[in-house]
Amino acid sequence: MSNCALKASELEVIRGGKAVLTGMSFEIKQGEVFALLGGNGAGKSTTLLTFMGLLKPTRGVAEVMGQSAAEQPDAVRSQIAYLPESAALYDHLTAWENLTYFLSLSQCRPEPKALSDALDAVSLPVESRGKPLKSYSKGMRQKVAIALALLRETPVLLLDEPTSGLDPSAVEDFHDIIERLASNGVTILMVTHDLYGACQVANRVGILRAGQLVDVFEADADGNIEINTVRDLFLQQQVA
Amino acid sequence: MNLNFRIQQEFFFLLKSKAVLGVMTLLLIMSGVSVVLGLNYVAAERQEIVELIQLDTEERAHKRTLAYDYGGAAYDAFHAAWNPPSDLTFAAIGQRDLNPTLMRIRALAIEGQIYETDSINPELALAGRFDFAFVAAYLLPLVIVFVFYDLLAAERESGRLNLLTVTAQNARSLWSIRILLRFIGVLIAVLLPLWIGMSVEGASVGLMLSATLAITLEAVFWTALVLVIATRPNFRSETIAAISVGTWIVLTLAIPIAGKVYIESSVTGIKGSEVALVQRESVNDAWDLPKSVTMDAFYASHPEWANSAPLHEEWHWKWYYAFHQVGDEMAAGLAQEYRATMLARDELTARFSLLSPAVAIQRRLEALAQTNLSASLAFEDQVRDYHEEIRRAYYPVLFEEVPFSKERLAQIAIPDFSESAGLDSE
Amino acid sequence: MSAITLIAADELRYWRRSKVAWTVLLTLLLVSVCAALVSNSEISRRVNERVAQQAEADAIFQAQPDRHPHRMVHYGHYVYRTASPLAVIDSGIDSMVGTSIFLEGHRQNSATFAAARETGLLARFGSFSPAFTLQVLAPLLLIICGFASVTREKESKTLYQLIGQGVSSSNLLFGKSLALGLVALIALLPLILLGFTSTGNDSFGFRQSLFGMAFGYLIYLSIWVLLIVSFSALLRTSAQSLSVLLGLWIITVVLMPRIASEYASVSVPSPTHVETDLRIAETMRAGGDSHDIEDNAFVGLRSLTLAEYNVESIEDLPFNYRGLVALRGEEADTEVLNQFAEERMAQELQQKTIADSFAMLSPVVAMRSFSMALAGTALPDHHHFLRAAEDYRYNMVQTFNRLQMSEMTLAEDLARNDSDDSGRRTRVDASNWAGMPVFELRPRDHAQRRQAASQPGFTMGFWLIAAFCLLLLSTRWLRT
Repeated sequence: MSNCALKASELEVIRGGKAVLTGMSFEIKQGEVFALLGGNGAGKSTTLLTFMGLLKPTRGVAEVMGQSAAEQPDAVRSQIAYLPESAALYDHLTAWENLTYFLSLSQCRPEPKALSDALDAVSLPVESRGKPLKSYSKGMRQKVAIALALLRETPVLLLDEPTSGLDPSAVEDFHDIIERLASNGVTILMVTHDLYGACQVANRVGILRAGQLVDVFEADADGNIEINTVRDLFLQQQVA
Repeated sequence: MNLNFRIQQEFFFLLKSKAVLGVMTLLLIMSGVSVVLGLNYVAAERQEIVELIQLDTEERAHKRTLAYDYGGAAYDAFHAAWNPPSDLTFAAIGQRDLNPTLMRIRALAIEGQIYETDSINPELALAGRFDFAFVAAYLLPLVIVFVFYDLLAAERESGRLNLLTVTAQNARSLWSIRILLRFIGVLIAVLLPLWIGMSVEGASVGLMLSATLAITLEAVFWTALVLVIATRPNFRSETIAAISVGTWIVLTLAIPIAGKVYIESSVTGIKGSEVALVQRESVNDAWDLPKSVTMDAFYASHPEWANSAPLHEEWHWKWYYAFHQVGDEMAAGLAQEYRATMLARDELTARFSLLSPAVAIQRRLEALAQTNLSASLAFEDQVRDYHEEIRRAYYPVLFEEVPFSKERLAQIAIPDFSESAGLDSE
Repeated sequence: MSAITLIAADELRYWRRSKVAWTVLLTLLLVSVCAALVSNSEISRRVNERVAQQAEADAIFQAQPDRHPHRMVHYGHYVYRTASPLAVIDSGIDSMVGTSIFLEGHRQNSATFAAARETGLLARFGSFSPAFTLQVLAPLLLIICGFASVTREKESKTLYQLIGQGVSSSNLLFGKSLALGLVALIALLPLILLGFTSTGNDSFGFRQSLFGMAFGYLIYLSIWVLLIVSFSALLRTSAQSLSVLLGLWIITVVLMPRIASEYASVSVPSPTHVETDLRIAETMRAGGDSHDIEDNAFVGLRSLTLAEYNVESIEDLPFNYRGLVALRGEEADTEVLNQFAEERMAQELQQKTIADSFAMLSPVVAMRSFSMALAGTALPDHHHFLRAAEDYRYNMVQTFNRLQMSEMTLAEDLARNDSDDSGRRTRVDASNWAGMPVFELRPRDHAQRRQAASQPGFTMGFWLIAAFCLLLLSTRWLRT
């Protein structure tokens, strides 16, 4: 088998009677960070849901670690950690309780040490960890959600607009974590409309328009992406 | 392997869900109150029975001291009959307050005595009883609706559903334990007071299991129904709540009321008052008929007394009791029809219970508690048998025209109702 | 157009476009009309049955042959309870109380054969009448229509736009209430139509009572409208508003009436009829047996009567002394019986008062009492029937006792069982019963019914004021 972690071939997905993805194809290698850029309604979230087996493609296949998401959703989901757009955790539970509960769902019993390590890694203030999430800022919630993704220790991470609504320093912290994960061999697919953040953190950036991947930009040897080219194309797409 | 931890975490999660826990606690309290009220009710009934037996015995003894002929002694001698509450009556009082449960009968025509019910306060009766059967039929489904209606929708509306599903790998492992724990919680809340009540009453294990099974089946039905509605994709939580409560109204209010209208208009058999009227007429007409007409009719059904001395023109008690008995015989057909009317209505009610779980659970509980129509009619049969024992006990002295003596009167032994009906003495 | 009517018009336009609202309105209309029709046929069937039975009983009674009058005392008579004409709207306790009473001497029988027993289990599920629709279903349908009236604006953020455009929050809530109130009026339509179309003799003010009921239901539904809009304004989301309002409905409509009656029956326990019978028997024992002129209880009567007529023995009296004993005996018995009956009725009223006090916790309890009282199907109306039946019984029995006094001599009366011939001599002409006036229940008049409805009426007024205060309070809440 190849070292391809995520693979979309000729994906076509219909949602609510409308074709959202119209024959999208791409491959993501293990340990790669791939950012999918697109405007509203371009099909970004649909792509993630299809990879998680929550949406069934009408044509084509979405594969995770060589398994079809549509046919073996359980096996695929055990390989995936997912960070939803608006850190959707339980407001009435504390960070500790949220993490323990969600991990118990994946048949995993976390050690207290692992929990505090993960919360350290996302630098969640120690004094907040025992308080219910309803007292948290959006950035703090996002940190708890990331900690959950880290604790899952899966080979693949799917991120939905991970930096929207975060303050600049939180965005910096987040990018550090992504780079650390990637260097550990975790494959990351993030969908975003944050052009600059995507170019900064990704190995490759794909531009999604009307349900199709129209262009892919690869980072050079230094890990940089020519941001102006990407921006021009992205904005051109927005106008169109 | 980590299933225990999973259950433990779901349990913890349940404890943290204040609304769900609050509704379950409310159900526990309501069920508890209904059981306490029910126990109170049967305790009062038992007390009444004890007092009745006491007063009845005293009154009869007093009347016997005043007696100067056998017929008059029989006329004055009332005998208590009672329908003791069962071990489950406290949970389903049913129509017990409208059916005769305590009565005092004598050797006169039974049709004039047997329909005497307790005088209830109609305005209180109108509201219906707050017994366990009410909690089970009305409140349990509503609690189930509240506990399950937004199970899915709340997660979807707060954006957690995808994360939950992906983390748990599939929907079944995500929901099964949460649903099961909530279901068990609801079941315990409703059943715990019932179990305690039944233990206090000393009910058998079999009866407990039957009652538990009935409630569990009802809870399974409602949970399944609500979950079918709640798992419809794209239903908002308030839509689910409105549809679920709407279903509750149809099944718990609309169908039973429609059933009542249908039953009352389709089965319009004989009215009880007509039975009483016919019996009364027959007894009264006897006064104006030649005595031999009455006596011939009586001897036809009681050939053992046919050799009794012929009657002359003057008054005789044996004629008096004979025409009462003949009155009963005349009304017997109508009385049977009256019962048949009620049974036919009950039969139709059974059919409506297929359409309404509220009717079904009430019927089941009333059957288990022996507070239903057939139990009431069985009691009526016992009373009729007892009545026959009483009148037959006086026939020898009347028809053999034994001269009156207090000693002979004392020898007329009529068993207690408990002996006659084979009740367990408590 | 004022801001209030604009808001109301806007709300109505929203409903016109939404499927839910149409469904609710159609259901409400359909249910109200069906309830009126079904209830009408049910009540008229019951009334016809009873009228027919009463006619049959009267015919049989009047056709009785020549008899000894005391035989007629024991023969007795049946009277049937007729339903109030407004039972069509609120049948009240009609199905819970016996339909007929057997009237005879020396005894007061209770009304037996309640429809509820003959119907069986389903009788307790309520009856399909306009009262049930208005008390139970209409609030629920109003909740489904109105729970989101304000939360919807909050969730779609249009609330801030409205307030930003200068709509005051009180005008907003008044407008929403007005719109919901118009829906409530649809539920009241059948009642009002019935009031205007009912014709015929109305000497007991039933039309006035009907309008009183309609007014009561208007207040009742207004209370619900105000509560619904208030909670919708106070709570954050539509889901919260719906669950709180449904919870309120369950507690006040389903739970409270039962809790009230359980509480009342526990706090004032009623004796069983057997116990009462025994106590009556015990008390009456002192009054003696009026069939027996030698009974010690009548020694005083004998000497007084002898003295009054200045004769030596009862045989010399110008009338049948046995009849006099029967007359005086019945008088004494009736006094005892009435005392017990009044005691029982007072106790029932006491229980009702206790149950009615729960009206402070639930507007439905107030509405139920108010509606039954005006419909003439409440407890006092049943007591009225019992008293009327007792009057009729007493007059009937005493008429026969007077016949026994005047129509035969003591010697004839004492010899009545000796032979058929001597029996015949004590018989009284059949025209005496054929001419007895039939039992006719004069219903209580409007003033009496209004009197009974005043207490729950005041409580509903209190609820209306409280609900209005809540609405005003929630306008402040909305502003902040």
